[in-house]
Amino acid sequence: MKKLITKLLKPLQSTKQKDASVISRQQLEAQAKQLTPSLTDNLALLKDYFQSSVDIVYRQFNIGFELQNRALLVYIQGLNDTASIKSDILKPLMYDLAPRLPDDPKQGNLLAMIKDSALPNCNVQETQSTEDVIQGILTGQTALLLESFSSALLIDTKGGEYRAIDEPDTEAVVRGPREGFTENISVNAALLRRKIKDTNLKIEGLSLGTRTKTQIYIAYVQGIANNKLATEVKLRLQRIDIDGILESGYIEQLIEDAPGSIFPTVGNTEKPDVLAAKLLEGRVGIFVDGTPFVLVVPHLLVEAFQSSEDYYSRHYYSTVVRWIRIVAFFIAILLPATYIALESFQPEMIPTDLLFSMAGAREGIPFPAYMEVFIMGVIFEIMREAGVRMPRPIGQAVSIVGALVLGEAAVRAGIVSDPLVIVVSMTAISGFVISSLGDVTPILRLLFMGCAASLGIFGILMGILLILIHLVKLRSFGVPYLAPLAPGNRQSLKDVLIKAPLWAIKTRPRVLGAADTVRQSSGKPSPEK
Amino acid sequence: MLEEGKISTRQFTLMLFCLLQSSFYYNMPQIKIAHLKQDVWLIILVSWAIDAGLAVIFYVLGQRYPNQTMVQYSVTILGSWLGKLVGLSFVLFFASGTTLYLLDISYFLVTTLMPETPIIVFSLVILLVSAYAVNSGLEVIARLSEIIAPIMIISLLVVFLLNLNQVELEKFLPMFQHRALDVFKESLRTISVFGICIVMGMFMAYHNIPKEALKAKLTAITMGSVLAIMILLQLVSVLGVNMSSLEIYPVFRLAKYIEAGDFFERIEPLMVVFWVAGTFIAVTILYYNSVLGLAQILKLPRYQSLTPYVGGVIMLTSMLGFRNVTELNLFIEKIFPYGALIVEDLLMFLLFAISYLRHGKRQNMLRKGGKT
Repeated sequence: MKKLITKLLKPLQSTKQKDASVISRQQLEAQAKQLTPSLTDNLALLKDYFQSSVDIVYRQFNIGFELQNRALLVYIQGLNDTASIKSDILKPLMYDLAPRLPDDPKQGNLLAMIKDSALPNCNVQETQSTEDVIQGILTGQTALLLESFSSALLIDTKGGEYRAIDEPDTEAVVRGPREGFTENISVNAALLRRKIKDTNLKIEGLSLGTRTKTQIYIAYVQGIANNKLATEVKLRLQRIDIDGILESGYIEQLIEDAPGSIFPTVGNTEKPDVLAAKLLEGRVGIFVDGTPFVLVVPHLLVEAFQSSEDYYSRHYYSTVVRWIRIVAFFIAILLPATYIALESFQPEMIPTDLLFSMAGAREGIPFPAYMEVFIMGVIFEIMREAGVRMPRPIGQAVSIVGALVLGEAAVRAGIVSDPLVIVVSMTAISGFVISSLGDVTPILRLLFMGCAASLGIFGILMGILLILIHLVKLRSFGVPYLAPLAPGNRQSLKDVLIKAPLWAIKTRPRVLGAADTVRQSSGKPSPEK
Repeated sequence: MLEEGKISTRQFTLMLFCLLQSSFYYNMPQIKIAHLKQDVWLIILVSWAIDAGLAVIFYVLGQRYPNQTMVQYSVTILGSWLGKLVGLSFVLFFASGTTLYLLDISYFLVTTLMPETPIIVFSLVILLVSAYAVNSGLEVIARLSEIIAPIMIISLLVVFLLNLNQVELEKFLPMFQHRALDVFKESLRTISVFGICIVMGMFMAYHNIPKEALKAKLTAITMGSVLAIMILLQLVSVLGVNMSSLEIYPVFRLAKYIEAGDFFERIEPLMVVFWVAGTFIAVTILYYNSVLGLAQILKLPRYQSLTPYVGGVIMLTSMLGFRNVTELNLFIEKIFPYGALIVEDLLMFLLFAISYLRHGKRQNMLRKGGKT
């Protein structure tokens, strides 16, 4: 912790250190930041730091009924487990210690005795630096200071209210574990440890954000994950210099390979089993305190089409579902554009009977096809946004209004045609299938609509080629984004275009450059002969 | 080095395949069927044989001058001035190839999809998107062809399979009515088209396993030839000799013929889209090579700065060079093959011979004391 703080402060210090006199003043300041033997001085020092903050609790008491053994307990209300402070710190010190107290407190080193044999807490640290004490208090530890000792004890009593482990809303499954990550980083790390019981699972910590001092954990399985990858992740994290990290989205935007791209090159998950699977493929996870979304890098496009359930259920169905997702993705980005292109440029591609009924439905509509699609698209996006932000009880009202406006009234009023309603609702539903690309599909859809409105099918093709060029150019932590499609790898395609049975996937995805490539050596299961 | 990327054998194969396959969608089958009738598929065999021979020359040259493109090793072989002149002729050949493919694709789109749009719109849009790919580097083009080549193969197979029900075998008769010399004469154009695969001389320098370059090229032209023969045979047997020689784009007509079930018809605009995607790769590959070759001749640190200029020249020639599709086809049929054959075959053979005269029989000319 201390190392990291000095590392973070390095750029600031290096500019100062040009002057020799500045150095000596710094040393003086550092000395001033040491605790003093006087309890009153220490109290004044701490109060000077926290000033008028009302949530800091300063509790002064005597140890073992002895008046000369003054002690001070400092903690922040709500970050600590108050019951544990009462029963595990105050009670042993005030009552239980009384018969065992040495005659001369200075001689017998009361502090060491308390630390070693009076506090039934798991984690107790001794420190002399005020900086450490302040940091400890801010992160939810309790500081214990004694009269005539220039060091303090930091006792881990972290507690307070947290959301319980819950089923995540974003990655709901029919089969598979229901638990999801919470906002508490140590709980999250423990959830991962429960999945991978291996000493090679490394969880390294650092804290980011000059003000928020957010705890970050980097998790990877040593021996599977490529060493270069882990180093690269750490390097990119250390390069971050920002005042606050409030969600993993901050980290995501600050370590991305292609900040200008519309495609996400950093993945995230809310489920421990998904994270464990990704780490076992050779990826690296980044936990951020205060959010259930754990980042996973490198992230490839094909991951959007994979779901944890594919691996838990039988492979035939998984393959079918995977193809349904791919088809849904293409419908979500291409259907409105195709409608525009066919309606305005290539009506001969529509079967004749359908063409007649579509032309009949479009009779009396004042707008060209692309305008129609655009209007409906905007209405839908508004409804979706309203549906997400709105308080739950009003939801029904919006869906009724939406159904009436989108479906019935718009058609009857002659603003849009019937087939278009089908197109827009089909597009909307398909857009929800690939939730992890949720912020990509509307933009792509709009882009292709523009292409189709100007150049028809040819325009769509050129739009697709443009996006394809961009995609094959994109990299996520050095790994080509479109792998294993391009550059192709036949082994890895077993888990992309189809979902091969588990026993047939013997190697890890090659593009990730895993150190240990073999995943399993068990063969096709068969009954004993 | 101008280009840092490396390509794999599979990417090498598929890039050459896209390049080769793209020429079969346009008017080539029409003219050849008009001249050779039922024996048309023989020219593919002739072209295959000649191109395979050419591939060996390239392979040996590429092995003798590793990590050098054909533009670079022509300087190594012929010396600075003459070598640069030869290199420039390669660059001009690539640039003219780009122009011809660009025009082919644009006229095709105007004829089949959007008759009222001015042709320059198509050329310009394709060239702009292509320039983006060119500036992104060889690896990007290679990966792009890795995605598009399978789609091209599948689209051709769909056309082939869905037309099988309309094959009339008697249309194959009479066969073998032409003399060998006639067949050979008619093959000139297809040989020149197959010869466009001299981009192998450029790509081999960036191949991660140069020893497999020959295999890659042979696979590519074999795949291309087999598909071409399949389509030519089907043209003869479904459309018949007469109709095929009247259509400007017989393969497109073949796609129009698809009628499987009662609903699966009129999918030809979809096929057009796939074929245009394939030809886009061809345009990009040739464009890339002309830019890269020119940059190597001029010894520039970055080839990207040349892309707009070369693109402008290509755009201008495509706008001013030909007035209509007939003129274009006449040029491709009567003039282009001779120029192409001089560059592809004669020049390459001379380079090959001079390389042996000047540098003896050593395997690798650059390993010790070689000139760069």
